Amino acid sequence: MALLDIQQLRIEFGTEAIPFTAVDGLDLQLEQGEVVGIVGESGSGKSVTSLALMGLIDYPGRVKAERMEFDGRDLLHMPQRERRSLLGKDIAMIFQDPMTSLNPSFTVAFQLMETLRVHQGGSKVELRTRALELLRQVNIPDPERRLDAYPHQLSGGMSQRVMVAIAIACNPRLLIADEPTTALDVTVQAQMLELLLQLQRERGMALMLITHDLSVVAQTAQRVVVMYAGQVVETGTVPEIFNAPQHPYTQALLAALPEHNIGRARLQTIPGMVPGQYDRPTGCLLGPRCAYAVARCSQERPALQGGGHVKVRCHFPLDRAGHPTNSLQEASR
Amino acid sequence: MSDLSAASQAVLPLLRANNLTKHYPVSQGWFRPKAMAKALDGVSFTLEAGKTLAIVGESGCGKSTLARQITMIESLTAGELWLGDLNVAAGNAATMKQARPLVQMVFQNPYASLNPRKKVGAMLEEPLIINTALSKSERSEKVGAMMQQVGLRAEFSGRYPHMFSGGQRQRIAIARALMLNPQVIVADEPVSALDVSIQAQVLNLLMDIQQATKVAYLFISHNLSVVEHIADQVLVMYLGKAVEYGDKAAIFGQPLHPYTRALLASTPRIDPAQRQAKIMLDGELPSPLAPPPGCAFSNRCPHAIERCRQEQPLLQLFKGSMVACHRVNEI
Repeated sequence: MALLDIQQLRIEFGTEAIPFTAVDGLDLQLEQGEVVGIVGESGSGKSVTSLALMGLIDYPGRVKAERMEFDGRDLLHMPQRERRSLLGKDIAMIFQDPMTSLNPSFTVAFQLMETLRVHQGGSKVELRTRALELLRQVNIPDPERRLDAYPHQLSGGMSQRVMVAIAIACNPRLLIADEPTTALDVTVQAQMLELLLQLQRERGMALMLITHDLSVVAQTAQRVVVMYAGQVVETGTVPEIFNAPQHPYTQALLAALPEHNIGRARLQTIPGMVPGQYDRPTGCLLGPRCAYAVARCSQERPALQGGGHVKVRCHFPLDRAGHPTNSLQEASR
Repeated sequence: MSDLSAASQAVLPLLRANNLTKHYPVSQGWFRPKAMAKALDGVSFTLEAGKTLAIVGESGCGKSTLARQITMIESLTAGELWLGDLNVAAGNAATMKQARPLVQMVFQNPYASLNPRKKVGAMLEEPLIINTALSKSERSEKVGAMMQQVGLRAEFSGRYPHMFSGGQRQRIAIARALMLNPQVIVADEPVSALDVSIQAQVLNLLMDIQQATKVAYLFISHNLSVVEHIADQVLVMYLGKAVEYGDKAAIFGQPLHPYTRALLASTPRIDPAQRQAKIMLDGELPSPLAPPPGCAFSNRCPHAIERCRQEQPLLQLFKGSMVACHRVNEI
């Protein structure tokens, strides 16, 4: 049984009469010890998904799902008290900006010990020893001195290490990292990814890595979920998706990277922009921006389909050479 | 540095920076003497019209301080800065008035750099009102033409910034920088706040504009794959100093300084074949208030020897690039 099992997750904001659907029918299964990357542009619904998992979506936001289970326990319908005991302990999260997610008024030790005290308890001396041990595990130099430091005395990379220490304090089984390296420099980013993967391997955690950076996912994750405008457009193992993307969006996103345009004068682009709240097309959400769209794409919204590892939301998925399978239809258009 | 530019051409380049230095006094407490943060410590480079020089380095290495000196927002502690035949560093008010319109800036975050209370048209018109004697109709004609050039519809000039997406806002910021036909545009991380697909559009726009107007870019970025695409020359900075300076092909093809190598190796890649063996750097940038006595990189460098910890290396020509490393011959 999967550690995390989400089926048909739907997150809405706005009124019941005119809802805005931020996430529309997301399915996600995560096994123990698996690293899954969720990629998408801003507005694709990847961060809202993680907030929903952590129970951080407040009214008027609404979270609905056919199933949302963690380790066989229903997250949506369990009492608040029970859910709170799970969050921060079995499911932990690292936020994007380390500078703003630590409380500037309290020391590192206080914030580390708070998590330990709430979930495990113990005497002050015990908690402090454990906090020190955690700082060691995330490779913070001179941890004794850092314990009594305030967040403003730490650099960005150091603050993010403290965030990781707080997240792993109670040995979580699922760690959600929302853009954990976006605010960091490349050399520190490399250190941070290495640390997360090392902790993941040692502890057999499941790691959900949410990012807009395709190359970070390519380098760290085993499986990838590509989101666009609130929907999963393609999901599969990393080599399959990156070597032979079947969805035109994934293909275009990869082609837009400077890395894939070496020697070319111009970068390949995706025309237009992600549809907003009021201009979502009736057919395929990518339709107006898709290079291969035909009449059917603007009328009928495709479903996520495909057996085996790769699932793709497209009427005419691309073949292994990256060509559309709808050339016949296109000719008759 | 000067021999490199002298060798490469007879005509003087557009922008010549020689030994740029900026020190900030930092208070250490009420009665203690002020310490000096050496944010920029003797950086030299040249930039030709129609070319792009990328400044690369981690946060705290002095990239943004450099931008503030080039755009004349602050005055230099020491060093020379020439823009064409204008001596900017030692210039009087009249020289500065001449020089300022020639250098414009595009900022990192288009959500913060546009005034939310001003219509786009008014924002683009403002530099013309201040610096030119054009009539109202001539100004609005110029605004319309500029908006077209950056790929926005001229009718949008009556809209406010919040009505635009991030990519469109960055186009507006670029249009604003172009209004006075500058010779140099300093772009401080212009695409790092944008999504991948939008990033490509904005980079293409920047390159189109360069081809059309021969404007020179000082392109500040920490994203090496973007730099590899857009730059002609690359200057790698570390703790206020240039550690490597040369043509793009040399820097990316054969990086000489251990720091440049580490930066390249740390950049995540899609293609497994392109990933290099990880050179993991420990720790972070040292404090600019207490830099190491020798090479600034010595405490993180895998190749550091005793000499590196005591003696500062000088930037010198090696295999066609300028590099500041004692052991460049051996490693």
